[in-house]
Amino acid sequence: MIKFFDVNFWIGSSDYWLSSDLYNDKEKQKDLLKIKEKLKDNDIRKVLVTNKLALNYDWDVGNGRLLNSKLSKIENLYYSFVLNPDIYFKYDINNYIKKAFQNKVRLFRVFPKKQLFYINDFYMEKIFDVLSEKKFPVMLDLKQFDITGAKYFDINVVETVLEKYQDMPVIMEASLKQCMFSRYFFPLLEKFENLYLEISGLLLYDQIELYVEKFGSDRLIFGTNYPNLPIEINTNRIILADISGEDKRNIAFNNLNNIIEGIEIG
Amino acid sequence: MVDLDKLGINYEKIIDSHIHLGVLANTYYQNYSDKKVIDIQKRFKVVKSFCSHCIAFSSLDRQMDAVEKASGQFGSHLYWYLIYNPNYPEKSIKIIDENKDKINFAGVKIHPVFHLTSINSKKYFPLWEYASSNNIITLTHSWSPDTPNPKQHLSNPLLLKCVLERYGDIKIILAHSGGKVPFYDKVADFGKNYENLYYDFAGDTLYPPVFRKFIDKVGADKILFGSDMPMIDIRYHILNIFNAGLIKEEREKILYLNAIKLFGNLDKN
Repeated sequence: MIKFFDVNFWIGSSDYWLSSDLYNDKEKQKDLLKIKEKLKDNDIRKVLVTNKLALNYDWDVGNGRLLNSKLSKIENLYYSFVLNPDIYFKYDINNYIKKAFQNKVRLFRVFPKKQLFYINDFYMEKIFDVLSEKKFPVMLDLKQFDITGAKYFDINVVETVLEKYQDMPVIMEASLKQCMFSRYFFPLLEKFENLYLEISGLLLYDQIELYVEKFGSDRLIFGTNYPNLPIEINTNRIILADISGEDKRNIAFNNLNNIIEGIEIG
Repeated sequence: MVDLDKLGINYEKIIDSHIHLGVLANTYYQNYSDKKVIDIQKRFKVVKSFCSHCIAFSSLDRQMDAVEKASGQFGSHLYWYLIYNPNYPEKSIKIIDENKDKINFAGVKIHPVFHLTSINSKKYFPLWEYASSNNIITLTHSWSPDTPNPKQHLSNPLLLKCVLERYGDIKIILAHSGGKVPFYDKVADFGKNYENLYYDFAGDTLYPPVFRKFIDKVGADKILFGSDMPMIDIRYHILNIFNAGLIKEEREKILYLNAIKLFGNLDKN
């Protein structure tokens, strides 16, 4: 049996593009038992949960609601916080990160296009300095660098982050259509050992197998992007992959677990 | 390789009504070969693959060579959609007309975004005339206009209203059925008015509830299995349908029975 550690599990209010069906599904997630059941049914032993409210409404409100929810009663459930430059004004960065860690936060996510800031601005550099020092992982969505909407990404900006903060593990998601993005990812994976790909968008045939063959299974991280994608589709895709059992275990659980355990909060 | 049946996924066969052979310039394919695509199809019990060749989107002149070569290699496994390019209507119709009886002809494929021509443009009317006169099925790319790619508005399936009202007898398969979750309701509601519309959910939107949504609104007889291989791994679409909460009869209709009924002329495989 393969056990999973999901880096990309969402809860919270409906997103504007989601249908009523998915909204209902999200509503159900407010029920603690449903979430526990969902995770157990799919052998998800650990999970990082992000609040959609922190993406769509306010990062601090959404993050805070996570901590104040009943989710903390679920064992092995951790939080990912949405982060933007405002943290620089509102909090002492060092303390904020330390306190977040104490509250089971193990990942920060950044959405510069959605929340309108430049990822390499003065403030973000200060924040990344601290995260890098603590080897705290950050998750980016490639689509946040698609300035035109035509899938031509501002890769130089991503390169700058990867280059400057090589101790900071960066997990990249592309939330679908990633099948078209390998030409962006290959050179980045060659060049930066701190880059990992989240797999829920690897939809091209044999693509998981290809990345394992080319870069090893250490560079892929399991994520469901639930409820935007059904959990079962992603777990089964790993179970069905034409790769070794060890590779499956690495992708499904070990890689993310190692990154999380590598955080040096001090 | 873990078999799908070990996950409790059992089915007799699939007819994949929407695949491609060939590559696209904007996508990286590792060691692409037609054989690899068809081998994967067969491994997952696809007994017939309905295919258009990507080279034809860019070059009508090269289409038939590619079709003949693949037909020679894979024989009766493959059925073909030939491309209609609205920028070259006469040439497109000529190629279709000259070749439809020489190959395993399934119908015509159109791609309004690729050819930068709105789906309701007059440039498509020669095709609709021809399809109506010859009882030819058309598979069209269809997508929501509300996406970051502004060109997708060209393939808004709701724009087909004028076409369907003028050519009520033509059968059109909406590839992707609009492609975006929030748009599915509108497409299904639109489809209630048109008996000759069919639907696939091929592509990169994996959303199991869509099957029930469309079954409730347009009926289980109108939905075809499509994967969009090699763009998408067929395993995702098999898992998608098996996570949709359908009864076996509905699933079998979608997996192959509807295709047999629609295309009719398949050999008994």
